[in-house]
Amino acid sequence: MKYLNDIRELRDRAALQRRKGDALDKRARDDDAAIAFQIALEFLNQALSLIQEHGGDVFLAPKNDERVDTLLVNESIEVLGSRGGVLRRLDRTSEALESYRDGADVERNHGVHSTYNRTNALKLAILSHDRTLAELKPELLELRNVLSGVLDNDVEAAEKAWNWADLGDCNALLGDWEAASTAYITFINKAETHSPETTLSMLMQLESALCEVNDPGADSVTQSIVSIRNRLASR
Amino acid sequence: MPSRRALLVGASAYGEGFHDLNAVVRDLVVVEDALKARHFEVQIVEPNVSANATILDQCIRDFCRNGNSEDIRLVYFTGHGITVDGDDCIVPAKTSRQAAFESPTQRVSTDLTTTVLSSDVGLVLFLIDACREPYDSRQVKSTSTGWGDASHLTNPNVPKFVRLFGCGPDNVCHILNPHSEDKSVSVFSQALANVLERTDQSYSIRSLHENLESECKKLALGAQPQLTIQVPRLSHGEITSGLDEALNRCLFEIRASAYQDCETSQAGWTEYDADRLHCLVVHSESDLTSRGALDGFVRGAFTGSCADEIWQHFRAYWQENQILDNGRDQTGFRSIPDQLSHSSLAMASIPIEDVFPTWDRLEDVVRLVVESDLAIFDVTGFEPGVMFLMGIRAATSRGVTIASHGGGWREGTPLPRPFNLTDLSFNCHTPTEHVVDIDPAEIRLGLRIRTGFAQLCRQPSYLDFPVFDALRRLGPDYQASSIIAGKELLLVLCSYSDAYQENWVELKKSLRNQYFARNLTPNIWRLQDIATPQLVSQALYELVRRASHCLVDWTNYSPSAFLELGVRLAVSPWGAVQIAEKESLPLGDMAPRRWRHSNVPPETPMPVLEQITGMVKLLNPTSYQLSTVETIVTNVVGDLVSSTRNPEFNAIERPNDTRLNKCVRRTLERVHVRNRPIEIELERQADAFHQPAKEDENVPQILFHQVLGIKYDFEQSALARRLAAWLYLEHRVGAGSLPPEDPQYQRWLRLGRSVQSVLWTSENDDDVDLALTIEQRIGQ
Repeated sequence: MKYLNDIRELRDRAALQRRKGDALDKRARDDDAAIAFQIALEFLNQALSLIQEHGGDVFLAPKNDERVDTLLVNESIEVLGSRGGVLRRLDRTSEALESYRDGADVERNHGVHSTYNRTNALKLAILSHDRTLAELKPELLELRNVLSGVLDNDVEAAEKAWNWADLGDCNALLGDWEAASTAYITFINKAETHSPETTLSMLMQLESALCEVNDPGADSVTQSIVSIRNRLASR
Repeated sequence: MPSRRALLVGASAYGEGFHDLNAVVRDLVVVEDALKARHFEVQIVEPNVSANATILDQCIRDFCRNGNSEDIRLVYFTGHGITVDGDDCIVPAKTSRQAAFESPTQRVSTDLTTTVLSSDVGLVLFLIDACREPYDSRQVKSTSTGWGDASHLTNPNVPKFVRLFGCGPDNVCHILNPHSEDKSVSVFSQALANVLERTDQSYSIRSLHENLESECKKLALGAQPQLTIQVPRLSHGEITSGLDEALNRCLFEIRASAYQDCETSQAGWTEYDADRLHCLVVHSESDLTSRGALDGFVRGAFTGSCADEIWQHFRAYWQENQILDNGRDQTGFRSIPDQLSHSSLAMASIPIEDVFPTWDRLEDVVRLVVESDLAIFDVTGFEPGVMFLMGIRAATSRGVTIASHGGGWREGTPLPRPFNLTDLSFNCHTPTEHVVDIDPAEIRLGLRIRTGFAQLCRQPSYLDFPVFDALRRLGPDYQASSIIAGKELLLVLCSYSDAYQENWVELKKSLRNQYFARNLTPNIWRLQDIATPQLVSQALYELVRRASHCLVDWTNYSPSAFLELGVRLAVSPWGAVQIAEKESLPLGDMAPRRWRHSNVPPETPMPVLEQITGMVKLLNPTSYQLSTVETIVTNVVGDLVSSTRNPEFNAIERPNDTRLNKCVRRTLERVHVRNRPIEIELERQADAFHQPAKEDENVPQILFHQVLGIKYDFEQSALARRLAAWLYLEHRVGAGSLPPEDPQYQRWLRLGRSVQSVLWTSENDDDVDLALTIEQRIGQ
């Protein structure tokens, strides 16, 4: 179906702009980075419009509703997650959180193995001080259980590096830094070589946010950062 | 399966006293087409043969002798005919009237009864479109006996020999459009073609005769101006039950147009059609009973559940690849139709015993082997002829080639196999017993074909035989592909069996002695003698290609040796000197025999392989006896070191040495697969290292991805290739200026984005600058 290809194309172009923005941001070219992120957001908004045009029910339909196209579900998860990431980069935190939470709803409603939006929604809630670590503990536990079950039983899901990064994040935030380290090392082994930098960057921001409110959960995140750095240093 | 063969003889230009017959040219064309459409394997006699009575007579008789009790042989002549002393004769080309009448050596009798009587062939039908000149009818034919009178035959009551004359004693064979160079055709020959064209009808000799009578009449009456009616005459002995059976035997079967599959021809396609899938099946002699089954399985693959997928993979491969198509600069894209249909297939099914009767036939089969998109070899018994053709195939085509074994063997059970085929995955075409639906063997073959085409599409170095790359990938060094002179190396291809050991010892000793006598000390190597840690196939085929001097010993008929011989004769203009111990030749005790099925008692003698007779005739190995091997080795070495062995010199003295190599080269001028365009090659390599589509989910691709240095190396290698491809498209092709729907533009855009995507993540500022440059070119 052509519209799926169009959505994919828009998402890819958005990803390109997002990476451009990250590269320029690193080089302190903030204005140019912002322009790139804005272009990325426009592409993603267009993708979202196409999704709503062709399958608005995807957000509201109950689990396993056969009327909903699985491919469209997957694309909506990706688009909402990417959109959340770009909005975060543009410091539009509440909109980012909303996008992640919409994506998380789709993940839960359709029983997909992706946990990208759920994990990011939790992390952004902490980063933005929307909620505390203690408040999020039940959700973190639930997410960790979901992830562990998926990675244990689904061979294909276990090949996906981001799933291991999500598991690492959950364990780190739950205070189990040893389990987090194991998950992160698996993530590094499977991921592209530049991917861990993104994860590391996010963990450092989490560490900083938790430290700001003197949350003891910061220690586990700090240990996780150390283990990632050690693993990367060994290459 | 009974074979149906036809020998066509045409004589158009004559000496004094006979008119030239322009119609003969078209006669041969229409009759050839008509017979091929009825699954006859057709051979047209060369002009030099049709102009020499002695050679023509021998040719016809040899043709009628060669066959089994189920086989049918059809001889067709178009030209002039005369009767002398009751003997109805055909007149060879370039013969004068006086010579034809005066000398028996200047005419060829149509009486083949003596030959047919002593042969095993089931039935011989002689069609004679002759006797043309009305004003010469009284002189041409003796009125006392009549043209076609069987009573003057030497053996009038041979039931398996029948003649069918184009006219009777009181009329002549006419020509339609006699003054037109390209439209003139004989009435009888055209009538024959018209009758056989009715493919929903089957014909015996009797019914053919009846239909020809009415068709000749119709053509005569419809001609402008009208022609006198000629009445074809059936000529045979007294009717006996045997003759009656022969006259009623179905000669021309219904062509099954109701089939949903394509037609399978024993002759093979005459012209390569780039828009079709060409499929060749080569049958062994050892598994006669499964020939029909294997053909059926192959047809089933293209009508069954795998057919669409086979077609789509085949099509996908040719969307990215081109053939040479006879031109250096021409684009050789094949326009493969979107959907599979019976007209998009060209299929040939060749029994191995039919491959080697003549050089022309062998060359034609070699052409089919090289041209085929899909080749299936029945390797039951690993017969020398089949292995020989497999060697040619392996050397010239990357795929898809399937080795299939029948004879009761089942996949999963042990199968001793030749050394050169150890790595192969064998298909089984032994029909399954008690089948209530489609035979699982057919389904399995279909799956195999599908996988073959899918992998050919996907894998850059797809191989189903171990030879193709070994011959070509010799390394970039100047010396890597250089010829190895005979003074350095004599490569010997032979058996490694225990029974051959004594031969080898004696042979090698004699070779050394003879070389030494000529002040030469080359290495005399078999494969086992090569001191290399390389894979056997890599080392061996490199030498098969590079060694100028090669000796092949047929003794013991090692299947591997014959595969290597096929490779050698295909790739090397230097050919090979071939020898065989006398006992190995067709009449000897060690002549190769059909493979013994497990259900055949051990005491039952197996027939000698018929293919060997033809192979010996064409390839002409020198015969030797072990006790006197030094004698032939003297000649062998003399031959090897002779300057006439050099292909630059030997074209005239030794035309057959390079014949197969030339045939292969001619065929490859059309069907060789070009190297892929560099941008496609680079992108495919990059994708093999690091597939962009895996980025979304970050799924690992390469082996040992846990070693971060290896992973980084592959990511960077992929990036470098994509960048190289993009730069090539940008600066060499100007792809950015092409229309958006152009595949090269799309590739340029895709590569540009892919390269950017990686460069943005780099720590290196230069990489980021390059990404910005690319973005400026391709836009956002």
